[in-house]
Amino acid sequence: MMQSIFWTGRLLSRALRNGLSNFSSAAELNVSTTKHPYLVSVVCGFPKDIANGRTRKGQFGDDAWFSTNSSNADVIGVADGVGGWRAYGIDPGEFSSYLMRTCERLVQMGHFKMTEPGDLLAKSYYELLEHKKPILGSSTACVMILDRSESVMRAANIGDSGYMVVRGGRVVHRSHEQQHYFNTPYQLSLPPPGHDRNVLSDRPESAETSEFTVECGDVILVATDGVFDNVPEPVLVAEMRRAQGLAGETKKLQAVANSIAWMARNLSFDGCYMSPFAKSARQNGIDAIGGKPDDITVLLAIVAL
Amino acid sequence: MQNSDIISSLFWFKNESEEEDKDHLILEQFVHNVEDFSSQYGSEISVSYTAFNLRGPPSNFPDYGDYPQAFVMVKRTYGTWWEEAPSAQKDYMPQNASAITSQDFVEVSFEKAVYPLEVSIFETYNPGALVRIWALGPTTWMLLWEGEPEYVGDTPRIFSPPIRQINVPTRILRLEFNHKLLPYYTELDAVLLRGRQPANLAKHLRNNFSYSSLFYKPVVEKGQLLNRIIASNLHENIAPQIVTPRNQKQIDTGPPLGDFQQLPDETTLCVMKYLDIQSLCRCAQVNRHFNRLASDCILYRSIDLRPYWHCVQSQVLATLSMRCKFLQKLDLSWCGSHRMIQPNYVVNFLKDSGAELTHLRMNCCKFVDNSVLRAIVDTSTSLQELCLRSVVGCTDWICLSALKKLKRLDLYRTDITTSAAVAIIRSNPGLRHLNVGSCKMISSMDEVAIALGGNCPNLVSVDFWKSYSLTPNGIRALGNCKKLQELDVGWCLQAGGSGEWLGWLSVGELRKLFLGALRGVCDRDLRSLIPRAPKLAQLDLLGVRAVTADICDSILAECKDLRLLDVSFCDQIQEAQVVEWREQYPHVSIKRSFQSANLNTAPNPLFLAPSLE
Repeated sequence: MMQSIFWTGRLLSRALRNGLSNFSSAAELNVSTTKHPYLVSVVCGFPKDIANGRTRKGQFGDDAWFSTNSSNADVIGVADGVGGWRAYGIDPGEFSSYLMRTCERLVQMGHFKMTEPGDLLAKSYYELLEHKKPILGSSTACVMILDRSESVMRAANIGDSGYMVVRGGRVVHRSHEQQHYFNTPYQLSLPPPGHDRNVLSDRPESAETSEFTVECGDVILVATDGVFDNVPEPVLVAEMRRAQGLAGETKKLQAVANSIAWMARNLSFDGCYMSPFAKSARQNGIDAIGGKPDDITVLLAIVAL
Repeated sequence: MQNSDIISSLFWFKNESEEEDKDHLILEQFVHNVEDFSSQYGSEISVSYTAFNLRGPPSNFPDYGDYPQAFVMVKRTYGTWWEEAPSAQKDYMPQNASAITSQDFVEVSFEKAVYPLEVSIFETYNPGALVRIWALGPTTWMLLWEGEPEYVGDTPRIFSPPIRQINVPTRILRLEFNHKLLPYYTELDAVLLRGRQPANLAKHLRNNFSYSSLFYKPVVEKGQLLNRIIASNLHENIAPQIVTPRNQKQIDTGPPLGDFQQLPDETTLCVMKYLDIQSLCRCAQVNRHFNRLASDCILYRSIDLRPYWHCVQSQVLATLSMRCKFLQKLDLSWCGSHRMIQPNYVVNFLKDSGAELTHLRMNCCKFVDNSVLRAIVDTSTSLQELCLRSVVGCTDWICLSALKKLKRLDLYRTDITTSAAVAIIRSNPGLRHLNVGSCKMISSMDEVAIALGGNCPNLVSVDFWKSYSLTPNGIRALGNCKKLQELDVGWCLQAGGSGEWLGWLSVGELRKLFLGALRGVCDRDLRSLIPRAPKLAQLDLLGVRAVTADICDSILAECKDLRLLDVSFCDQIQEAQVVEWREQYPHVSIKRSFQSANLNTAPNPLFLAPSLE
């Protein structure tokens, strides 16, 4: 009992800290625009292995995220490093984290086209090849760019991370999972030399892209599969509904993100729960039950004017 | 990371606060744009290690280490290794070099013109290479600071040398570097210019106007010449001859100076041969006797104007061309920025004096366009060496294939195409040195390599740096070049899948081998190479992940001539091992680059054995 209270406290404080780091960036956005829509975003998440997981900014275990802005665009993204690389002595979090950090840098340097989020992912991926330090591994990724002057959101998604947009309490847009086969998503990879043939590697150009206009008050959830595999969509939508109109109250918004992450975390370790992941497994002829323990990243954003 | 975030945010703050100081605004600006540079480590299509990283506030400072977010220069860089390589080049006129030579430069612009008060360079890796700071005024370049290169150890620093106050506002700075004392590449994060804004807005606007007029007005007019003379020594000495040729009779009224006239001309000329251009020009002003001797064509067989890039204008070429009947070697590198030299002057100069040219360097020259290329081809048919590094803006590269006697061709970072490169190689079977590094328009480097293998049996050095289209098929063709001493295939990622092709090369003479970032090269490939390459002196294995300490042990023990070994970012080699090697093989310089900050520390050891499943 004591143990669990201790954990809860620690997790919440961590969630709060992560949230707070993002209030500041949201506040900056407030200053820069007056008429055009912009994003207010918060983040929360947990590494699968909390005891030993990373606590660096921008990472939850092997997941990574970023949220940044250029003069006329807000850009957010998540990536989920593929854990299988651990067996090869490769840190799976490194690839995803470099991928996201490079995206962030490209945006800040203005080296991206607002109309092509897929191109941003591709550029970031090719930039990894330019590092002196060899970066190996693979990752799914989802990047969203809000073009403030046109109120258009453009997204690129590769693999089973994804986004969901709720307007007026209903899902109006969502990404589609890209899988080769069950539990094997599309992924960007840089395999160790010699393993090229045995490793799934999808070209960054194969990212699924989409484009839609956004309205003030839209709630956008960008998350890794740790969330979508464990929390059923109706529950996610119910939570996101609570976030509507919280653009000015980032603390409350943070609370919603925390609760989604916390829910995903709890469900993922629930052994007798019929999770979306388990349902999908059954459809593929695998007799499974329970959540899917995974790193969890929740990036929750509201379109504000 | 957190630290640098805080620091850079502080700088932004400072940047925006313009404090009032006796009607003048003190302004602090970070780099707005990078106008020009001599070389960069990063490739043309990426942002890592490129000059563009100088823009804006520092992104790494005060973290110290080898990061892709910084600007890294490359080639002829750190230490003296590049001078020891088979492809080393000598100055045409070493007497011209000032006490402090420079190897690289970068030119940066800021948003607003100011009277500079302070220039701060944020150095995040191997600081100490800066030797000069220049500011571009309305008419000329002005030297703000000059100092010896130094080695200050492994520590980040903000370098703000005391600068000369100038009375014109500037928004363009050029920094010159000399890396000879550094143990490894230097990396720069940002440049901060602190300066006083011109007092009132009207004046400010006028200043802006003079910039644009500088760029678009054809340069030489006699009335303007005086302005330039004031600031440029070279002009001070060359120009008067043009301006006042009719006065010459009056100059030579007195008796000849001393007994110099009794010496045979040959003797005086022999002495004068050791003079730099500036002194020669001064001699020419002493009297008619000296003028005749100092203008003698025999003294102008090799001319190196690179040290005078800041003051060489079109007029200098026009003046020199009278003395250059026997000109064989000409170095105009770095000259002609901001339209200080017009292409038509170069064309005329080449037509008048270029017939005997055997060596020509025009690295980083903005005036090189198609007309200049054609003039080279038309007049200098016996050219043996042609260096056009970082030359952009020409399209007619294929015309260079009319040259037949080239021994050295340097096209680093140009936009030559595959077909032009192949045509040039085919017509120059005597080619010994070729640099086609970072040529982004060469879509199939394999064709170039195959042409080299088929046509150039005497090839000594070839540089394919960052050629993403080079594959093992192309390299296989190089096996025909039995005299190959130097091969740089660093960052040829397509060739890096495996290192089998090392076995196809003729490496008996090989002295320098750069395999940077060829991730797939492994111990087996090197194992078979070592006994065949007894002369190997420089080996770069940066980022070659699979290479282990075992093979490096063998390399160090068996390659007796080895002097440079770069094992940076080789994951399999432990730091302690490198320390041990350094003790055991003191004659070998073993390089080990690093990233110091916590964001790249080794992963928590526990993550390899997760406990919670």
